[in-house]
Amino acid sequence: MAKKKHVGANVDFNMTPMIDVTFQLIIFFIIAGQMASDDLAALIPPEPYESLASAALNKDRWRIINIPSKAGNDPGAADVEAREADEWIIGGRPIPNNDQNLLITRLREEIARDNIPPEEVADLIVEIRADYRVPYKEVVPVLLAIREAGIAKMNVTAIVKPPEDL
Amino acid sequence: MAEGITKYQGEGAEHYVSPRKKRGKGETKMQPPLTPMIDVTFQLLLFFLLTMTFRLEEGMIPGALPQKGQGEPTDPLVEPITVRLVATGENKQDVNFLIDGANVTMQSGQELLAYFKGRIENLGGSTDSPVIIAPQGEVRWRWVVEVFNQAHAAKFKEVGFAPASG
Repeated sequence: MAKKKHVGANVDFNMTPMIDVTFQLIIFFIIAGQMASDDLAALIPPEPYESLASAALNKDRWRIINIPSKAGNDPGAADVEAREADEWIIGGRPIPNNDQNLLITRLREEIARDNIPPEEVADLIVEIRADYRVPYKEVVPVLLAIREAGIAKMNVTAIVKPPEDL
Repeated sequence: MAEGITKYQGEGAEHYVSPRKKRGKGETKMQPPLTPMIDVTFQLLLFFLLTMTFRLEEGMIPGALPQKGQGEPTDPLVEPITVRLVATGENKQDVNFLIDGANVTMQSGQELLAYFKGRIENLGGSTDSPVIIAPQGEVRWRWVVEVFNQAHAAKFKEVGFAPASG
């Protein structure tokens, strides 16, 4: 009698759905990780009691000035480091030595770049995004520079409180 | 006709397939090695899972700066409410809110909001009084935003910033 050849059963997992899901997750993390804009420096905004901060409506004529702390967004950093302001950043570009005149020039450049007519300069909104630990004396030169550039609208960034806390 | 080839007349022609070819048909299954790809994919997934941090939800507290050259009081009968911020505590992290002309000292935004509401009641519901925020230079930005936020919460129409005092 001829010997019967024994063939083992070939069990194979269907990997395709798992790979599909994994790729979906990777794409999500890649996209979600880039959501933070370059305009936003690493800092922690203030969180006032019953914050009234609301989402920005019109971002067409919107400029952000970041006033980060030297401690960045590390809440556990040493206090001495945290109370010093790092370089101001506008439009992703730092202002060396926190030069007030350079900030005024940059703001005027921004106005010129967008061809904003003089009568509409007042519509331009500058958002002051400062770290909660930075002393007030570090913010005052920025307020003065904004006014010097002829911009009247200024918003202050704060952490939005969930409605149930209000 | 050559040996081994069968040809049928009619709708189409069927070619002869040798028994050896028939045996081989369907047995060769080409599949790229998926294991390294899945390994790399999971490494990426783990990397994004571990390094990902979502930004805190930020919002704006709307404000406006005075135009250069403005500063003349428009209505001398409306008495401004000046809130002085004095840095206290170790490393000047904390603050006392003092109201000019009233012997009131507060430590929290909650107390400040209650004071503002009481003051509006005393003024017969009028919110025309300008609120002037006058912090010491060392006062942290979070406390300045706290006063700004509470003045907005109390529905004061005008809120201003004074230069940093010593």
